[in-house]
Amino acid sequence: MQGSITGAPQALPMAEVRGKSGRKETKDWRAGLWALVFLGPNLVLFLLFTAYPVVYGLYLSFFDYSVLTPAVYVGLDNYRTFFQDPLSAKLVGNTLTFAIGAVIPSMILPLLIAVLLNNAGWTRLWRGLYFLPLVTSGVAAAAVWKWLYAKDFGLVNYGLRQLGLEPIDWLFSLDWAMPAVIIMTVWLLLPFNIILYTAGLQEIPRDYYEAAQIDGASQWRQFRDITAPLITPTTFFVMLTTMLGVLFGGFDTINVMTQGGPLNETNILIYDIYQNAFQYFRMGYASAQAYLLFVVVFLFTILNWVLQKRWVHYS
Amino acid sequence: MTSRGAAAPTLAPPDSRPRRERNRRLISTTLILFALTVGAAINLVPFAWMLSTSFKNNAQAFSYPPTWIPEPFVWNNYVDAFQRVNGRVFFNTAFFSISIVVLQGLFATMGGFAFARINFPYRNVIFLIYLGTMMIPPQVTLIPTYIVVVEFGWVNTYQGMILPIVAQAAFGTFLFRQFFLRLPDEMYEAARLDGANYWQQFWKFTLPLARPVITAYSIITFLTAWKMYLWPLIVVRSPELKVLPMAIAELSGNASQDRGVMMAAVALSILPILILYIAAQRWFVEGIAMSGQKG
Repeated sequence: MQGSITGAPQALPMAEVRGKSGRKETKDWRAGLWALVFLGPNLVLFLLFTAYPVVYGLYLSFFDYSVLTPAVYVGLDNYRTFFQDPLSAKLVGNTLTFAIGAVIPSMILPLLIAVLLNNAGWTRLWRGLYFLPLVTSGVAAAAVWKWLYAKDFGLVNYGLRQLGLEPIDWLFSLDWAMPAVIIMTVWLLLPFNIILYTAGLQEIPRDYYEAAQIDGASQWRQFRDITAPLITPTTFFVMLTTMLGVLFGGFDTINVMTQGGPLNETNILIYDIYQNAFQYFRMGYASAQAYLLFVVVFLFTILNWVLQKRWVHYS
Repeated sequence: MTSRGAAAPTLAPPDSRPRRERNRRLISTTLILFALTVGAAINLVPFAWMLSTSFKNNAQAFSYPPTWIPEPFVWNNYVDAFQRVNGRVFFNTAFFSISIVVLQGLFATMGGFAFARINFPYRNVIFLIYLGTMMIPPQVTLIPTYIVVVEFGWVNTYQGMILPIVAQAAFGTFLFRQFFLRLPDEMYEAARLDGANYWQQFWKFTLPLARPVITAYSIITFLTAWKMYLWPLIVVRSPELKVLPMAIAELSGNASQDRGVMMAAVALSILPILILYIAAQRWFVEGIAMSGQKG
C-alpha cells in the first residue's frame, strides 16, 4: 500500500483523464443523481468561492470600490493607473527578482542534499534533521530570522565579523534586504524540495547506476550523466511550485520581516495587492493588479511548459 | 590519470585495486558526512537560536557578542508568552485546522469517488474543468472571495475563515480519484450484486482502503492550515478568533515586546506540530511526496 503512494509514476493529469470503461452500470439519470450527491458540497463551494470570484474579480477591476460606498464604473482607469504609476515597474521587478532568486537555488541545493542523504547511512536521523523546518510557518520563521538578521546583535552579522567581514544592516539596506528575504525563503522551502527530490530519485532505475559502476564511472560522472538528466521532471515540478508558492506565500515573510521596505525595496505584488485592498480599501485597483499578476503568471507557466521540452526528460 | 593507471600494475601489490577502492570510498563517505553535518548545523541554527533566546531576558537577548546558553534561564518567558498567545488562540488554530482537514477531506474523497466510480453524463468534461481550476492562482480570488464573505455577513466568523479554504479541494479530489481508479473493479461489481448503493460502496470499503492516502493527505492539509496567515488576517477582526500566525506576527511587530517572550511564543506555536512531526514523520514525507505526483 505504501509503495503505491510515492512509487507511482509522475503521471500527467491530462493523460489519466480517460476514465475507466465506458460501460453503463446504472441508468444515466440515477448515476447523475448520485454524482450530484457526492459532488454537491464541492460544487456549492466551488461556485461560491472559485467560479463566482474569478468572474467577479475581473468585473471589479473596472470599478472604483471601497466596500463601504457603492461601486463606481471607471472603465480601464485602474489598469491605466497601474501602467502610469512609477511604483508598478518596481513592484514587477521585485516580484521577478524574488521569484527567480528563490527558485534557482531551490532547484539546485535541495537536489544536492537529497543525493547526499541517499548516499549516507542513518537515513532516518539525517532526514529528521533536514526536514525539521517543516514544522515552522512562514510567519514564525520570519519572526526568528528577523532577529538573526539584526544589525548589532544578530547572529548572521556575528558570523560575518568572525570571518573578518563588515556587518550588514540586512533588512534596512537597499542592496541586502531582498537577498536576505530570499535566503530565508530558500531555507523555509528546503525540506519540501528535498522530499520531492528524494521521491524523484527513487524513480531512477538502480540498474543505470550499477551499469555505470561496472564501466568505472566516478560518482560525479554518475550524477552528471544519470541523476541530473533523469531528475528533470522533479526539477520542473520544484520550479513551478516554488515559483507559484513564492508569488503568493511571499506575503507572510514580507509582512513580518520588512513590510515591503526599505523604500519599497522588498515590496512585491501580492503585498501591494493586500495593502491596496485591505488597508487603503482600493478594491477595484487591487483587483486589476491581481488580474495582471494572473496574466503574467499564466503566460509564464505556459512558457515554462513549452520550454520544458528542451530540458525535461520523461522516461 | 592515464599515466598513473598504466604505472599501477607494476608498482602496486596485487591486492591494491580493492584497497584503493576502499580508501576512495572511505574518503567520499567522510566528505559526505562532513557536508551533511555542516548543512544540518546551518539548517538548524534558527531553531537553536530561537530556543536559546526564548529563555533569555532582554539584556541577554540584546548582548554582544551573542551567547548560546542563557544565564539565568528565564522559564517565566513561557508563562508570559502563554498569556499573550493564549489557550483561545491555540483553540482557534486547532479548530480552524481540524475543520479544514475534516471537511476538505470528506468533500475531496466524495468528489474523487464520484469521478472514479460513478459513471454519470459528461463526467470527464466536468472533471477536466474542475481540474483546470487548480491553475487559478489564489491571489485572483482573494479579493472577490472576501467580498462574498462580506455579503454573507461572515466577516469575523469561523465559517468565513474555514469554508473558502475548504473550497480549495480540487487537488485532493484529483488525488483520491487517482487512488480509487486503481482499486479492483471486481470489488465494486460484487458490492453491486449484493445491492450496495454508491454511498455504501464509498463508506464501507472504499474509504477504509484509502486509509494511508487519507492519513498522508490529512497531515499535509493540517500542516498547511496551521501555518495559514493571509486569509485569517483578512477575515478575522476580533482577538477572540485570532490564529497563531496572526498572534506571532503581532508580537514580532511590537518593538517594545521582550525578545525572549516573543521567541517563547514562537516555540509554543511550533510545539504541537513538532510533536505531530516526531510521531508521524513518515506521513509528512509521504504527503509531500504525494503532492509531487500532480506535476
